[in-house]
Amino acid sequence: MMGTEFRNLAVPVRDGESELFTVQMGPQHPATHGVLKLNLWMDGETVVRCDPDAGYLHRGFEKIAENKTYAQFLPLTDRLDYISAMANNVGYCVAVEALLRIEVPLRAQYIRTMVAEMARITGHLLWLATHALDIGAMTVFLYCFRERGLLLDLFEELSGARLTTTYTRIGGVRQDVTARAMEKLARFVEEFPSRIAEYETLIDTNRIWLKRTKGIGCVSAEQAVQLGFTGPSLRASGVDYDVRKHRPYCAYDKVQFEVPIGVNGDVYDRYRCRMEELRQSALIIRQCLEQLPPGAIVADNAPDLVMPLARPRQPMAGSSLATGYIELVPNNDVYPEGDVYVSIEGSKGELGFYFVSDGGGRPYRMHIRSPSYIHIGGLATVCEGVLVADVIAIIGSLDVVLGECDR
Amino acid sequence: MEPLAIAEKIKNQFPAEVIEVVESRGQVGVIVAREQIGAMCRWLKDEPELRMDHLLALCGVDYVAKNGTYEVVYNLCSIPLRHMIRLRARVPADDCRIDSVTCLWRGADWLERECFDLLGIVFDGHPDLRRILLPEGWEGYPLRKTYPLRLPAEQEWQGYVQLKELSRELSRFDFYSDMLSNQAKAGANEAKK
Amino acid sequence: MLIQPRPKRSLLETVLLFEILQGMALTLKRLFSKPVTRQYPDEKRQPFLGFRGKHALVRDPQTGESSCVACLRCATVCPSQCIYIRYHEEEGSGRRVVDRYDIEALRCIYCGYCAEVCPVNAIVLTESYEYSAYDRQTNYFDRGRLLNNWDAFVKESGHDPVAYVNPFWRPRGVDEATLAGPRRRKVPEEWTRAGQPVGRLCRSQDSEVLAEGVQR
Ligand code: SF4
Ligand code: SF4
Repeated sequence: MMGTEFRNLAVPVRDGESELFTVQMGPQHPATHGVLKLNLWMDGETVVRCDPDAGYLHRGFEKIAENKTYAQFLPLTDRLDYISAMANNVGYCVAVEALLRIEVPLRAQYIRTMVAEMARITGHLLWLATHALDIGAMTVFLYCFRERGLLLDLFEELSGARLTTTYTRIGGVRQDVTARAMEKLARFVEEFPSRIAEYETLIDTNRIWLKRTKGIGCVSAEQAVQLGFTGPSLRASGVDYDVRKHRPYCAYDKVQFEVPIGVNGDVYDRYRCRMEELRQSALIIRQCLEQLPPGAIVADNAPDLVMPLARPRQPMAGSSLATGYIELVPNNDVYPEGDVYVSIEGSKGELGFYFVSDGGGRPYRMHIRSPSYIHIGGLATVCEGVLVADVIAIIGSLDVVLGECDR
Repeated sequence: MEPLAIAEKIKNQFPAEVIEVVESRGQVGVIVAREQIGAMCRWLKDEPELRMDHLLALCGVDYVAKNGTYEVVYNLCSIPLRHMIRLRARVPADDCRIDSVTCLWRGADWLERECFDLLGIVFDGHPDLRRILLPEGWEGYPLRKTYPLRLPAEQEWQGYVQLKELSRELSRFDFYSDMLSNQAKAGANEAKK
Repeated sequence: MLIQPRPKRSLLETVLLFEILQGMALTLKRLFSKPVTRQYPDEKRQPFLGFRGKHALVRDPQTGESSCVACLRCATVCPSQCIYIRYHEEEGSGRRVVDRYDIEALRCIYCGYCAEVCPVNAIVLTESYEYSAYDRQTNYFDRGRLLNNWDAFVKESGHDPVAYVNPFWRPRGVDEATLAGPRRRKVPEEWTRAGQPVGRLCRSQDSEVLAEGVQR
């Protein structure tokens, strides 16, 4: 029994001269960061062709969105990139506000900037932890989770949940920050640079780490743009593209930070880029803490959670239960017709939302441009001709999250 | 460059193709016919004044109820020049095909596959057009507005029917009493020893 | 900003395994500091105020029942539609009386919307997080169970059942004065506009300081 199963996994195929093996890596593989499956055609240890197979975590978010109100879809954005849920909340709300023409008060803008950067730090820390673990550096994992735990505690204090935060609201944020949380955060950003130095002590110059990352999985600038890479994966190749600078949202035009750019576009540069980004994020948070203005945290014209025009259908005579079915009246004053594409810089790359509204209380169509999906799409190109052990390093360095990829 | 100026430029270059220019929330969408989409994208990408080198997003929208077409929406942006534009190519519902842009952007590969998977729009010239997010045997295209949210039980997808069967079987299994009986057994074994 | 490449290792450093020893030293140092891990089942963690956990219907100290007025706002807003309410209207007064109030906790996504929209603080999410079960029925909460959840939560956490309130019970950004009065619980000053923390640069009323800070 075992024997036949094993043979199914590795079938030798004659292909011209050499004998190609197909290996199916995943979907239950610790190093694929989720339920990603790679079909690899290998010549010895060299990958000849790589065909990523996504969709194991497909939950039909875009279809669900068409059947929910704008507010009701918000908690589901937590489940996109579940490692940095706050950033998704911010991105979704920024997009809906652009669609519904809502002006967000300055204080909420600052709070959003702050939590989005905290989300970036948690995302990058988890990336560093797992990426190092994949390559064989177990210790880093433990150190990263120490700091990540502090941030998750802060998320819990702000939003009531550690991972599925649902913190922002259309037109603002759920809850004002408390003085105690701000103090904690200030202490965290004070300390954080020294913690980054600790991680770097562990791996930055470590010869094994360098052997495993330097010159592996090189992506040229042209190639990266062609493949649609964004975020640190693109910047490591030397392309200066950051949504925070190109199309500033929230309070990013009011704080100062730099965008780290790599040179070689290999696994090591992607690693260095993210490490620098951690420092910059701490810097942004510190500025936000200093500049945090007083004022309202939600816009005056922000819609109620039970969105306007959404009325519960009268329970019909004889029906057993009155559930949350909603009747929506199209009204162009509240939900103007039109379409809009708004993106933010998530921790993985550019997270974009394309909305089409037909005047009804629900999105007519919503498309999520998820960076992980596009990065995995590019994996086939990057993995051609590398050794199978390097495939792991490359997946890790592209920082993919399957919840976001499959939606 | 201002988005409206870009739209104007496209109109001058491809007068026969542009159907309409719509502005919405400060962004400009150009509704175009599908025939020249490849040439248009190439021109947008190569024209030194525009240099739309980054394909932000590609997706399909179902407008069949409104005007009998699907739309394939290309959100393009220029990394060096920092401007963006939206192309909306109309695809008639009775002939769902459009040229692929994978030769211009390798990254369009998976985006087009997704669009095919969920909306059933065929991209001519795509190297490997098959389902991506949904299982291979899936019937229908879920993001079409005509796709039902819930099917009668007998029309449901077979894979899902089997899965439900399995979960029903498993839910009948009483883990708790099983655990208790296992513990009891282990205790009895211990006692025997 | 270009990333800074590390300086090359010297021959001596290479031979002496310098960077590896550095890493080891860090690990060794950690050995003598207090561990941050918690031995979970033995050592329970106190969640923060307002953690979104198990559902409960607040027991009204006067009537001993829930104060739900069957407005259906929670059932309407629930994204996973897992709240089922059945009610009838009282003859004469037209007051709505809840016959049945069920929450299917296994379908809930813990967004906290129900607690946020409830006008009378009837449905809430409590801070209790340990309620896994061996079957699905245990986590299908009907009205009696939901009220019991509240009692259990109050007993376990030691909160005052009359005064307890957490920041997530109130609608966002709304002035307390404008809310439907007597049935809601009073919140401390800290959570209102008056108590909000502001950044160092904004503390003085002088807006020029802020402008300066923004430019800097
Ligand atoms: S927390 Fe959210 S999903 Fe759960 S019952 Fe309340 S509204 Fe519904
Ligand atoms: S929102 Fe509150 S009062 Fe209204 S039905 Fe729900 S629990 Fe009852």
